[in-house]
Amino acid sequence: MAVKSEPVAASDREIVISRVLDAPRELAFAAWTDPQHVTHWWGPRGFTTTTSEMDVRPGGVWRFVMHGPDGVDYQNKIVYLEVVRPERLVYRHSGEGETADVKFQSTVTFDEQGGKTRLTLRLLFETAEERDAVVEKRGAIEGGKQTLERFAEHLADTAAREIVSSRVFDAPRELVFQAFRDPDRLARWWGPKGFTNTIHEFDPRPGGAWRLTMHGPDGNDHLNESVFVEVAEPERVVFEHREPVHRFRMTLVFAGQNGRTDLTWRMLFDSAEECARVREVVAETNEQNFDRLAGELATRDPAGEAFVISRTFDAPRELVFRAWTEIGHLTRWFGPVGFTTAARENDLRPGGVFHYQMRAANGQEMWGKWVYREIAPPERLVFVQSFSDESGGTARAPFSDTFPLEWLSTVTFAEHDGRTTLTMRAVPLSATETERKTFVGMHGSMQKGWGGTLEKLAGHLAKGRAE
Amino acid sequence: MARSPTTADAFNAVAEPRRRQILDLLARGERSVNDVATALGLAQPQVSKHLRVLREVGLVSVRGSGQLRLYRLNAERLKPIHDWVKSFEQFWNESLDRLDDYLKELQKQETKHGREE
Repeated sequence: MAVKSEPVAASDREIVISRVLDAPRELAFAAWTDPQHVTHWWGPRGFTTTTSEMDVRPGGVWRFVMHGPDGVDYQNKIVYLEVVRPERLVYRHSGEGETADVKFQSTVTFDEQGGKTRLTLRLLFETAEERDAVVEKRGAIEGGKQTLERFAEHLADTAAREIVSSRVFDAPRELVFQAFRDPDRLARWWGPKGFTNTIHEFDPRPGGAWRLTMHGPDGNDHLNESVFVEVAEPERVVFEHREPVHRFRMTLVFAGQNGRTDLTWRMLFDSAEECARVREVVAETNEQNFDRLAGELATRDPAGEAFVISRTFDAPRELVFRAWTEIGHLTRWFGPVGFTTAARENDLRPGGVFHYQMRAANGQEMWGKWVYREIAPPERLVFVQSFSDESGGTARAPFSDTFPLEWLSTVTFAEHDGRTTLTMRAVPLSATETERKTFVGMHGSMQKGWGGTLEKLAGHLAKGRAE
Repeated sequence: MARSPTTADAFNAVAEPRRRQILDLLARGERSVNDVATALGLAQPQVSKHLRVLREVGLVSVRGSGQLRLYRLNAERLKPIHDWVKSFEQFWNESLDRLDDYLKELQKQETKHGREE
């Protein structure tokens, strides 16, 4: 393969080798920095490589042994100085033991050239003599060229068998990782548009099983079975997808910087033919899947508020506001399913009270009240809500004594194109000493508490549209 | 004597989005202030301020000293919040479902009356 416009050594202390690779630079960079890839190509022909540790970040170390065709083992150590994914690596290479005299600094650059990569390897020695010695004694230039040939072959083989997709998410990688790691959340976004999931088993440890049924929009169910190979929170997940139909190894890499996450998915198939058959479809479904992940992360958006519920109704604002404020309407919808609400009046003024009783079919009774703070028709209602008793006093929640005694509810009504978006915000009010308690409970995950209503809204609206 | 934190104080502490983000992070494991700042892309003094509030309401505790102070989540303190939020959401989701049906019904009747006139 002819190489055009090869870079030239800047000095006599330098060796420069370059090659154009028929692969995108994300893949090239990954193949240069992943121990599972490296073992397939590192070193001149006839050499194999075993990695004992590889930590690709500034200050990190890659320790490996090269097994020569002559049966001799060569210890090597690389210390990374600069890591700029996917364009640049700078590291210091030193031999150990036998090859301790071999020391140089490498700069590897990956330049994008229309879907291909111009890879340039610059080896910088301390003196011209050392450089010359390495070229003569150790055949460094020839060795370097062979290494790049093997790298190109490996990439070609991998690229033909692999589908790579990536996207940047506006959230720290710990949180993006958690969106995968928590099966309750994962079930909400995994898969292409229109699919829902039931996760039967999720054991994210090497050898652990992941079994789920994906429910397609056409009504068909697909049982998926995978086995985890590696789970390194918060940066990497590798699993083997076994069923149905295709077998592939999927690698999820979460690269984080400054509160954002560069997420890369790689699916490596057993053969190039199999990969080619599904490449176009999978590339598209990966993008849909990223869309869904973005949606899931957005519903946990910390810029949103803790206790907010929002809903859009296909009705003008004046009507919605009347439904909230006229006693004849209010008692017809307010309250949970299975309860009837009764109230004598709604005293709609600051300080006024809406005192109501909710009765279940089985006779169970609950009382509540709203004490108004602000009324601004047709756009806003502010009231203090609490449980109550028959006489209209403030009472504790009948089923929990850790619930706040009172909470301030702000309801806003915004109209757009004849539809009304209602937003309800609640904040528990600072209370008296009677609130103080010691809480004994389960160790719970924070994330179960927030939001979560928006997806119900989407489902509800879809239901509404179908009617 | 300083007032002891109440449940409502913890609720109010978590109403602030940055503090929720910090608690999400600490749920994964102990962190120093600097780690939290780096992971979330926030300034260190801002993180310190939020952690102080979270400590005051008992949602977070700290061990160690100097550079090695490690903050951790007191997850059991979240249960009342979790319980209330779940209950609050369910109550209002159901009520708003009923409101949606009710509004549809109301508008259907109004159209019918309009046509009859």
